[in-house]
Amino acid sequence: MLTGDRRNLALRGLRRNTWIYLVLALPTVHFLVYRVYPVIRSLMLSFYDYQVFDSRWIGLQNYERLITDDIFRASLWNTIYYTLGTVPIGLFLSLVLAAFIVSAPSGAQSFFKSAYYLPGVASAVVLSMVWRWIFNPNVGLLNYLLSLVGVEPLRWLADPKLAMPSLIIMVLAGGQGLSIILLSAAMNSIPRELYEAGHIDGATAWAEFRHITMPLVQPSIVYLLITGTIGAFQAFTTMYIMTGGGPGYATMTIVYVIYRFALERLQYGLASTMSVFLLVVTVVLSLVQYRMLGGSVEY
Amino acid sequence: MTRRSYLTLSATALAGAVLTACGATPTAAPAATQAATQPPAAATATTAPAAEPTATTAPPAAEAPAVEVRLLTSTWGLAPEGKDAATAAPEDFWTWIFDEFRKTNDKYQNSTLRLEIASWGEIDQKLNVSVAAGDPPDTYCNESFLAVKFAQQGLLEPIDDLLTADDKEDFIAAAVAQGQFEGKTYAWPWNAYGTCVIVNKRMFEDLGAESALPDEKGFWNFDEFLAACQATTGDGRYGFTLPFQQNSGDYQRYSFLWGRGASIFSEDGKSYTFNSPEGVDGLQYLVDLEYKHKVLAPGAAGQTWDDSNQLFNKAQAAICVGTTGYNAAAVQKLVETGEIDPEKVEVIPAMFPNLEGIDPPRTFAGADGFMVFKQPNAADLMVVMDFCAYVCNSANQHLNVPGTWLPVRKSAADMWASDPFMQWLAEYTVAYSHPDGQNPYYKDTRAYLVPAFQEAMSQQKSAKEALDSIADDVNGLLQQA
Repeated sequence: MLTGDRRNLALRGLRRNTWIYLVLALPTVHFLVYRVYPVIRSLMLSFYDYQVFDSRWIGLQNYERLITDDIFRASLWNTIYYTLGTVPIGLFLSLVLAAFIVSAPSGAQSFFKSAYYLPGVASAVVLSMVWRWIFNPNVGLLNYLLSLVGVEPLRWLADPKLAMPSLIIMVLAGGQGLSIILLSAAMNSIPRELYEAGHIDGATAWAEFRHITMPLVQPSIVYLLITGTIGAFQAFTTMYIMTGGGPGYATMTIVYVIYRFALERLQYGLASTMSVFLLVVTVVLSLVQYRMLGGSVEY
Repeated sequence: MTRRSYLTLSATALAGAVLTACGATPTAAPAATQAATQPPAAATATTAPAAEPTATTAPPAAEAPAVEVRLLTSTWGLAPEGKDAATAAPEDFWTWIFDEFRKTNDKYQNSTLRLEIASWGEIDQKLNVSVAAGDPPDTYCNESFLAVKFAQQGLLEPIDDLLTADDKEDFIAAAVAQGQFEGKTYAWPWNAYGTCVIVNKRMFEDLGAESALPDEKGFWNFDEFLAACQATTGDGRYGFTLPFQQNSGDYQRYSFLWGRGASIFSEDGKSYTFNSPEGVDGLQYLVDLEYKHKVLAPGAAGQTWDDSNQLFNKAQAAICVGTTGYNAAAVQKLVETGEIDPEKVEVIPAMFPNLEGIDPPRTFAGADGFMVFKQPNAADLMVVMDFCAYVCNSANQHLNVPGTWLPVRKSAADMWASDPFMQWLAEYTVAYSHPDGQNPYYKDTRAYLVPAFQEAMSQQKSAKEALDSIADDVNGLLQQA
């Protein structure tokens, strides 16, 4: 009897919430088909030598190769290098700029926020064309400026030591718009009374920033750090357009090497193994960051 | 509207949308094709010999089979006859010519074209994926040598029995040979392309360095090429520009190794030999042009074709490499748009340099064609084959002019008579093509060779180390193939 009542209750609840379930059904199916299934399929493929015309089970051989493959190791190092060069420095720059912006009058705030956000709206291809011109060793702006102070022209994108730093400079110069908007919004939402209280207690500007601003924008910082790290680990477009992963493999990232192995070398099994590796690394890094920085976050 | 009726209506609309999305809607409906200002010439190549009854027996008009021809191709820069290629969409040419093909015989009246156009960067991947999925197109139009790869796997229909005596006499032998495997032909030759060195003759004249120009045929050896570069380098100009960043145009770089007698592949095509002493010398020659002689525009490892073309067009480099992009009409357009100053730039073609004794000099050239995948029945085979034969017939060769393609038929040899640059390409490049370019796995080696060349050009590795470092991978690829 009780079971019948429960069933009726459940059915009634289902009928009452039909709309909710219907609305949620489509994105759920989409998520399962286009997100979950590819992950499961990648995991399966990673145990195969999967070629276009032939495939066979090879167990953990792809994972063994991953450890010894020079190109993959180079791409892993490049990805870490790129992440360290763009995420912490980018976040620091955004924090400083946002702090200055929120101190400005509201009209100036709008202007600066728009100015920093604008490069994010422009097409990546157009931006890359401009930057390719800036870095051009023969007719580029940077070498022209260097020549004015007597420095020999540099091969910005053709020198393996300079190529990745050049890309990091490019990303740092134009990619902080969203972070600045989020951080300045978080700073603006801090009650002014807290600063007034600090002021009455004789706190300096630095002390206010450290003890009031920083703790209260920490949720935004954690969010930006995690999404920034995930984004940096998935970097592809910048390298694809600017350097093609070169010279040699100097700017080849993990996602780029997955693309190469899957779509140029048609080694889907190995490419899938790299994808699984990337997924695990990204999840672990996000959890570590959340544990280390998110523990004291007050939402 | 009640909630129930709203749900019913929504479900119906959703089902309709799904059915529409799943339905095979031809991208090229025959009814939508544009009428040509002139019909193409008679379908001389559409007839098949009597020995192939399955492909020649024309059913009565009333029984014309409803065949859908699925064509996978890329952007060729062509246009319906009488239309401007600059404004035509890529699909316009194909819908038009299929419509013209249908008019040639009642037996095609129920046939339709399902067109799939992919960019040049994606088309190989798209074909590989569709073949792997067991769903290849009916016909694929691209470099003829790719047919060998699929013929090896028994996926293609041979065309030998459909070639008429006139066809066999008329097609340039090198163009036919590119689509042959074990004595059978698997690609309808359609057009050809060639690559060369491009020289700014005006710059040599202005600098009083005419003696450094190549001979009247456009040939020179490595020492003469270096001397030409040195004679034109200085005051912010470079003798030569050659980009290494992109995969495309890889063959332009290989020509410097071919010219010293190196080959990517052994004679049987089954092993990698580019790391031979000749190959290492050729790559070292390129490295030395940039770092030792300082005549190659610096930063070549990171340069793109746009960077290189810009230097040449602005008369900041005396020599570059290219293809048909410097034909008379294209140069005229560059002059009109201000890209080229005709007082500073006058273009002449030349061959890649070669060592004395390496005869002939080598370049990259090839033919494009239509390969036909195995068909489920004779009716489909007939229509697909006849369509390919029609596009490739002698009278339709001139349709390749807007795309600046070279002819593959002797009867169309004068197609470029009014353009000395194109005539030179037609005369020399196809005949001087290096056999590496016809290896079916040539394209697959790019993923290894391009980074290796970049490593040498950016001095991360010596020329030998760079070419040696990919030997195992390329050999593995060839053995697997």
